[in-house]
Amino acid sequence: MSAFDPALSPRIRTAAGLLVMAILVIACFLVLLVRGTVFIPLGEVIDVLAGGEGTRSIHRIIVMDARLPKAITAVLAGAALGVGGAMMQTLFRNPLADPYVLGVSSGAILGAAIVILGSSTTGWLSGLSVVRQLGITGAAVAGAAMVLILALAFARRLGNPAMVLIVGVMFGFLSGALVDVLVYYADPERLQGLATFTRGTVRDITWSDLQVLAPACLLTIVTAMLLAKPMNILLLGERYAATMGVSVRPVQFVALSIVALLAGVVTAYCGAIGFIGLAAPHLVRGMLGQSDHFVVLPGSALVGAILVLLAEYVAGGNGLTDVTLPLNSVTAFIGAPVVLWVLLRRRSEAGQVPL
Amino acid sequence: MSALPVPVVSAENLCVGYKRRGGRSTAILQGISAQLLPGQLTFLLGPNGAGKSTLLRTLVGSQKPLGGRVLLSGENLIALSARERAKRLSVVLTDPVDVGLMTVRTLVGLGRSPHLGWFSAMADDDRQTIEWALRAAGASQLADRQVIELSDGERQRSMIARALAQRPSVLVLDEPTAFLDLTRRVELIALLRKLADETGLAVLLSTHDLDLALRAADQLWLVHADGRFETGGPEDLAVGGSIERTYAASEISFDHAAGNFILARKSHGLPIAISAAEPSLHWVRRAVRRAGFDPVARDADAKWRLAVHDAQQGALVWKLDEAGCSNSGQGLSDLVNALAAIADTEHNNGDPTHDQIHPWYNDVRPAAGQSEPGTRKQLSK
Repeated sequence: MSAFDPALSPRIRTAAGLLVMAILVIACFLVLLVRGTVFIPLGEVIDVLAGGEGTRSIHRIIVMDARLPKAITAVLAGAALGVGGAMMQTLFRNPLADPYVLGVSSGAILGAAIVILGSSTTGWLSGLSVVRQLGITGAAVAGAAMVLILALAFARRLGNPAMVLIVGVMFGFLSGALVDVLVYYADPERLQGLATFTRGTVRDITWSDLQVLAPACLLTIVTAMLLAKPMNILLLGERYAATMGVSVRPVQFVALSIVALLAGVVTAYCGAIGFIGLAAPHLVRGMLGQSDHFVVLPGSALVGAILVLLAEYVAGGNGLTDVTLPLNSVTAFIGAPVVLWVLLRRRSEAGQVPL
Repeated sequence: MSALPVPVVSAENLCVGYKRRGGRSTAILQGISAQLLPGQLTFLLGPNGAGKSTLLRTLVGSQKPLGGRVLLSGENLIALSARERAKRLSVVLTDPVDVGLMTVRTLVGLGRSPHLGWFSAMADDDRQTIEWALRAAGASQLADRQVIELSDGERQRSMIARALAQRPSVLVLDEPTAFLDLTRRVELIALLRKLADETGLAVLLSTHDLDLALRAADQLWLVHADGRFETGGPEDLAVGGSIERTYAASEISFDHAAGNFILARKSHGLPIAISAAEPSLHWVRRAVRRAGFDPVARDADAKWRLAVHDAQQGALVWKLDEAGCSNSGQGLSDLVNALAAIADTEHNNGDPTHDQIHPWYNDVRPAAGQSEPGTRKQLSK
């Protein structure tokens, strides 16, 4: 791609790279609206989006009530996870940090599971699905925050990125085991609500769900962007940051709260979507050749969105196969090679991994 | 005499240490009163574990003092915001720097952060400061390189340039010479000396490089192992014996003439008279001390006499006399081996005036029997 030609000046290269990413987001977004079990021509889709009726009423219903919420959710979740991953990699000083890998998503699932399996479907909550969903979301955010705090405490003690990774995987197992135990004690009817959590999906999201998901994601993404300057200084480590005018503890507190909120909200609505937070920042750094958060944070949001849109297309939005796969079985194909690539690079460059 | 310069940093009856959980605190150093003056290079010296790092952390505001206070250009350090502190004081740590994909110029640009707004937008003035900082730290030619590609010395320079970009009035460096080879160390100290002289920056650095400190410092801060703190000019502290006491240990001794430490295998106090020409004399003395002997000025005081000549091609030929026995060889390593063997014998006999070989000496002596007992000729090759 000519936009990534190293001969261009860094500023132009960065701007061009971000522009290409933004165009790709729009392109993938439109593809997801066009393709599916029913093919709807692009002109028709644009007509419907512009408020037209479309040539067939079914097209309008498919686009507006099924595909549009799905595509918007994919963009929001991908962007949120990408930003969350970039923040975590800097906060943990660890190139392998990401909400899914470090068990933050598992913590969120545990929180959500306690509410889903514990609360009564016949009680007063059952009639108020939005309130119930908010309860699940709140519990998911709390679960994510809990794992994040524990993981950070361990990361400080261990220091070694690979060890932190193992600790995160253990947290994931532990949360998963607790969910399993809960499942055995729960009524079978309630399990349905839990089934999609571990697989990850952006389908089944309604406009009323988006009324919570969209503001939460947008707010946290914007807040994260506002932290770009202190995050840049934190690349030098906490001790340096403290001597360069950063109030380290407050910045860390806000940044971790954002990550917990992002991971919790996304998990509550879409389940645990793996590896996006890990892969997106590395791809952005690799393509744009810099670690500046003023570039990496928006870039990770865009690439995260592209990855989830692509994953959803492969998993079930393409209309080529009848089978719809869980999102995680596709994202792992992107994420696992990135983890291996990072680890191999780390070894070959004597411990230096671009963060 | 002009008026004394106003100190940039002054510690007033400072007590540093750690606060434990439950409000109990452990003081490491107490009663510290000292100043950093503009344009002065101050070295903080002391043995490991004496509290140098704790003192530095307290002076830069990373840690609260247990008592007393630190004034930064007249204002109490802990009352300043992190940002205000960063505009006046910058720090270079030993922490490894793993900044990812970043050029040296961008890294140095991070030093402008305390002066910039939320979005780090830079004015021309900021860019000029960055170029100045790169030049002042001798890092201009590194500006477009990636930080991860730099050597230790180059990274050190880049981090100093970053510290200078903060435009501080005080620069504090924690063991900046630790990972550098000798040439880089001397270069670094020369650089700091120049910065202090030309920009009026007050520089404080902790180091174990006593030799460099004694040569370059305007002022020394000495931390003793027992928690005492002393400050003064390097020469005054050396003459007064403070430096010697700071590092008091059984294996080293301070050579007042050379202004540095010498490592003795064992100090036996065996008097030896040396005749050699400069510059060999200096190194012969070192070799002799290393073997545990004491060079003395008058032949009459010495039990051993050593003569060293410059042979051709720079090789040294030495001849050692002791009450009729003589021994000679080439090179100072052989000399040290020979002397060390003598010193061992003297020590093991417990009688420094003996003139007969201890019975078991013949058995352990290498190649015993090839030479007459009583001479130690075969100890040198």
